[in-house]
Amino acid sequence: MNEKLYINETREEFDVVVVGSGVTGGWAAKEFTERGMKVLMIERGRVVEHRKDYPTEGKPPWTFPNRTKVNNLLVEQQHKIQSTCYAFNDMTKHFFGNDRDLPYSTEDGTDFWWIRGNQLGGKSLTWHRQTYRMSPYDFEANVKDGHGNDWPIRYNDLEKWYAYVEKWVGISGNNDGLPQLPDSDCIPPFEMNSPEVEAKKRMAAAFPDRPMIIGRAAHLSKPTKLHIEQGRMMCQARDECQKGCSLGAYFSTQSSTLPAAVKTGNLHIAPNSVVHSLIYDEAKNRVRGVKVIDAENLSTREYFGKAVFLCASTLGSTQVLLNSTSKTRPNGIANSSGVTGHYLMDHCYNARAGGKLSGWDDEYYSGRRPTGIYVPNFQYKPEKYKKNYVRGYALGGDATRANYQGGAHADGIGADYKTSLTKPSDWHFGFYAQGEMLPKYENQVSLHPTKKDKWGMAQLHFNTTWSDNEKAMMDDCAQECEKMLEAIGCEDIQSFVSYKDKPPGSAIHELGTARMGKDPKESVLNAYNQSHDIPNLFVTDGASYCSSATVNPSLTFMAMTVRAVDYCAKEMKQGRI
Amino acid sequence: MSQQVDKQSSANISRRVFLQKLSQAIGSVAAGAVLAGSGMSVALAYTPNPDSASKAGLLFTQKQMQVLRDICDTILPETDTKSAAQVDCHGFVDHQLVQCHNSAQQQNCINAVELVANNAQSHYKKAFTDLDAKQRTKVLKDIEALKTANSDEKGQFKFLKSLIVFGYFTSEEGVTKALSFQPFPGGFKGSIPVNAETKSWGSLNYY
Repeated sequence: MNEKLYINETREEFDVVVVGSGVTGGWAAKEFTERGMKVLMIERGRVVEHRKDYPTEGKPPWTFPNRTKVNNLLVEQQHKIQSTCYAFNDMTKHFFGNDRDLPYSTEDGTDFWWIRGNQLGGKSLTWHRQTYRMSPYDFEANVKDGHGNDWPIRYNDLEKWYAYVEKWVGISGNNDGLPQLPDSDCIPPFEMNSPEVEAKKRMAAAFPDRPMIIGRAAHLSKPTKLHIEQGRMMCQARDECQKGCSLGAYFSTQSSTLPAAVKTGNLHIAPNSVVHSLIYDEAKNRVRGVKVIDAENLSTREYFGKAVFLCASTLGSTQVLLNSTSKTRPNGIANSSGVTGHYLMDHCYNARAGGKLSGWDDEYYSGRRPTGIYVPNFQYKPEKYKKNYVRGYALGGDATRANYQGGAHADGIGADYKTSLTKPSDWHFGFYAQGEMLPKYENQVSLHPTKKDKWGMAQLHFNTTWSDNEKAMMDDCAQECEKMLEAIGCEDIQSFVSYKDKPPGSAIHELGTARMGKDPKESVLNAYNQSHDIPNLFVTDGASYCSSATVNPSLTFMAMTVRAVDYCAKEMKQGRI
Repeated sequence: MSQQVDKQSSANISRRVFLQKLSQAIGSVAAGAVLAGSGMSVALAYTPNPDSASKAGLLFTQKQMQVLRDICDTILPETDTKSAAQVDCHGFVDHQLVQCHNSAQQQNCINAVELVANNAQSHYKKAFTDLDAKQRTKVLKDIEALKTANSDEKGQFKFLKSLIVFGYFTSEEGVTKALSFQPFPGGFKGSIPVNAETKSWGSLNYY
């Protein structure tokens, strides 16, 4: 461990204090330190070092006592919420929070799944790595259909920053030339398998307005010089991603932004530091740093900076904002609008459909592709909305050949049955929904008036439900998926909706609660993710979103973060911050 | 191309071979750098359990363990690869039920084992263990055909069977011999030709 990098007590005033080390924290640290500024990155969890701290990487299933499944008592007592995540298993559980230590409450009759990644690198270690730009239509949706406030930025404001982060991250994909999904600055795409190629053709014939493309993912299909200089290598399609990848083949803080920031010599990291609140200078109306509680021994300490970037995840940042009060600002020092905590969003992943495809018995695929096919939102402007709900959904999916996992439930005893399980079986094609969730004032997270966690922090209390809009969208999506699967040529088609079982939070795309906006009376942040109330305070993670759109949000908050850093650094140089 | 696939299927997953594949893909200097201090370097050691039908399990009695062992051997017998019993799937099932399943599922599996034992007694007046392979197969097939079981009982048996199948195809024998183990695919190919002999990939790590 680098003793100079990791610090505990310090009286130094840094140029910038960055709270959080995930996707946005890593980017903020890289961008500021590369501009020659001194940065303290604060992480509430333990240190995770690239390669060294990926203890389960490459371990085959038979080396796990429960063959990758987690002990049920352990799940019940410590991981009941975390275990709802598709990526949670015995090989990845050390990169998920412990629910026993991270309690929260929900309003009666509502539910919320809060998936946590409290370690250096945050959820950048375990994310799903799908990376799409928001479109010009997405930034205009609120003002055009009247749901939520108008984004204070437009696509053009982010365009060059998207390109900047994409070149660095490495986004595999095609230039598809679609109005609803701007092209990224891509490295080569992963291949479609033959049934997917055919499905794409059949979809184009039956639904010309619903193009099917290969999913864009933050994986090095073919590293450029820039990636090799980061110490990263080509993706080998192992599907070891969420255990940590020693090849650095997918983008994470550890593989990409952190080494760049460390290289400057301008970065320090304070691990095991739970940020309690912002230190506020009422006379100057500036934040001076943060008050921190030691994650292990519960002692308190303070860190100081000329500016503070909250990159602590949507809900983490909002918890700090709500917990930072003063005599004259009892509802939050940066909450004159009163909307902090409101307009909580997720994506609605609550419809899916699948069917069997005949043919291609003599074809298979090789390797475990880190992406699937993607059908971008085809209801991307009001003229294209359905009658009974607004906005739309994208679809993820793929074609795969069934194996022993399906065969395990078939009838059969003996040698022939055993042999059948060793062979690739029927092709199946599946779609799943990625629906937009509307921003609603009633969907709120607040500080619980009495309940505290073990660090003495007020627990978050959620009051969030799927609205009729999301439910109607999922019902429609399931029906439309059936039609599309028919057009593709599937048999035995089945579809499901799951909004009764999977509450908000289940897509792990929590957004909003400190939204941007032009009007300080109804928004927390301005067009540069800067607090309307306190000029040296920024929030650049998902909390700042005005609408969820349908695309996976990470790429957009990367772009917003580097844009905010650029702005903040210039303002500091000019002496305005 | 299919030859290549077959070659992969018999791949030895020793550390040496793993390193070799890694080196081929990214170069030996880079492979050394990746493995130095990485969890991967120590991840490949494992000792399989000995046969566990000789004593009571965590959940099953010794008698039940013996029946379970013979159920494993009948559902997935020895072919060109070992049987489920030979890789201790009965020990796995006993352990997995206690570790990862609730008491209702545990009881269902006890019921399924007892059903098999009882059916053997009532049809052949013999213990399941004392039946020949053909007779054992018939006892189990009759359950799946609903001849000697109602649909609830069949459901319980099928759940037990799915655990045995999972246990076998996540065992070292199942993953690397019965299936085609591909720890280091070297990238993704959307289409490769296969024939009737090609095995499916054994490298999936989930239920």
